[in-house]
Amino acid sequence: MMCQMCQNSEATVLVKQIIAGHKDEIHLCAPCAAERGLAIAPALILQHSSTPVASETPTKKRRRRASAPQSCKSCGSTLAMLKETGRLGCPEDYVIFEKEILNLLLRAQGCTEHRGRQPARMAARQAHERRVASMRTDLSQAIAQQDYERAATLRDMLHCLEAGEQGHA
Amino acid sequence: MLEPEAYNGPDAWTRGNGPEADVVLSTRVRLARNVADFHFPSRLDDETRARLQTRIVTAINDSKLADDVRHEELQDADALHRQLLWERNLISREAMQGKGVRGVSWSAQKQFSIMTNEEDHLRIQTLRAGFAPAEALACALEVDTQLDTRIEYAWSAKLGYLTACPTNVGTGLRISVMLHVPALVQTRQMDKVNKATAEVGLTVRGQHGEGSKALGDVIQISNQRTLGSTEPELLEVVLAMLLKIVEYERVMREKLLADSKTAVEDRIWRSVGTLRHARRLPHEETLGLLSAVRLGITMKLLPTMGLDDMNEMLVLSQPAHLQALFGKAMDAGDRDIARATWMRDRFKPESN
Ligand SMILES: [Zn+2]
Ligand SMILES: [Zn+2]
Repeated sequence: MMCQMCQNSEATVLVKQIIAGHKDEIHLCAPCAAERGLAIAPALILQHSSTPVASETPTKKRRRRASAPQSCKSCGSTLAMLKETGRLGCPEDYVIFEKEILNLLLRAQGCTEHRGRQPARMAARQAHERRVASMRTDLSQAIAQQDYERAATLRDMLHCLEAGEQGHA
Repeated sequence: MLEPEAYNGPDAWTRGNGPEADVVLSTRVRLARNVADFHFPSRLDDETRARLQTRIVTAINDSKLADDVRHEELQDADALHRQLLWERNLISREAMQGKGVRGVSWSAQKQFSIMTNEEDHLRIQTLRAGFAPAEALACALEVDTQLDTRIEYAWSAKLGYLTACPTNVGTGLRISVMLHVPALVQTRQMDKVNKATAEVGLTVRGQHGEGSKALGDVIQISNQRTLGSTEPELLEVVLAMLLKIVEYERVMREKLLADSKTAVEDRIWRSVGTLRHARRLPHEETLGLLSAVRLGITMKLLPTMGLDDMNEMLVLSQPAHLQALFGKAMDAGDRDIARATWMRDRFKPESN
């Protein structure tokens, strides 16, 4: 499961909170949990009741998805236009009318999964993500083995890698 | 009115005798691509279209594709010139008839064209004589690679390359093969062909795409699905099925010859006679006559003519090319007379 805050790293922290009688669960990665003042303890279940910061984004997201969108904010396309012309107005429409488009693709193409080539930048990003992930593993290993010197080096290298990626994007 | 190079003989893909030329006229591969963060062309005003087009042309000029490429703004071109580009498959019907800022960048030498602001921001096309889907695909992917590092494509990890029409999403790849199948038509095998191709996800259309008739016994077969398979997998389906159809057409030609040689010969020589003597030749009738002659050449019944002559005649007898050849605008009636005059010259007895 991916972290619900950054959608970028594996979630290792489960936050359970109860606000006004409403129970909510949030899965976070270690850095995101740390950022919100939650202690980092992998696989540890925290009971937390007063930080709405951590609860806001996921709940909002869920609510937004629940009501079907009427039109694209970017190009003004509506579902009716899509059905009438069979054409989309902008790449965003694939996200906004995802459900309808996936149904249409299932009928017209028999599947909903691309398996062909990808842009070079995507291939590069994937390679980058693999490198970062393996370095994170090394880092947690070093910490577990109390090899703090190696951990510090790895942390510096990770920072460099991540800064480099931001430079490209 | 028209620049000489635009009509001085068709491009290599129509002139040459490619692989399986007795049955296959040409192969075309197309990749649909869009630029990230722009609406699809139908939703762009001319100002944005122009900005986008400049960006794409710059990317082409910065790449290895630059050497032999020629850029044309289609909204400024006259209608006859646009039709000329369409008749030789360098642009689509939509690019020919459409509105707004749009263009085409093409290379006669490398046999590719890139339409801009068509249904999608970019339509990369490669054209080859005869049956050459693997080569045409390799060339298209190379053009794509050249642009990929200079343009950020609209893309999603799940659906691949995002296109204006969901029927093109994924690979954006369409492989089309143009075949001449008079024997399959005459022996009424086309239903069988339609069924067999549909089963593997291929569609059969007339020469000029959707809804057009199989004029002159020319059909176009292409993959229908663009999503869920890799590019090599789609190629594999086309290769396997098309070679079967080519072989089928050959078998039926032999059968025709064995069963009714005189009837076949009669039809071919009557066609030669009409092309040699007629004073008025409508386009549609001409395609039927040229089809019979083409069949005669592959059956070795007309030893002095070659297939490359035929491909050239198919291209040059089209309305816009005919007007370019004669250097003047002509209505349909005048074109039929001009076409007959030109054909009489090509089919003079001593040249046959
Ligand atoms: Zn996170
Ligand atoms: Zn939109």
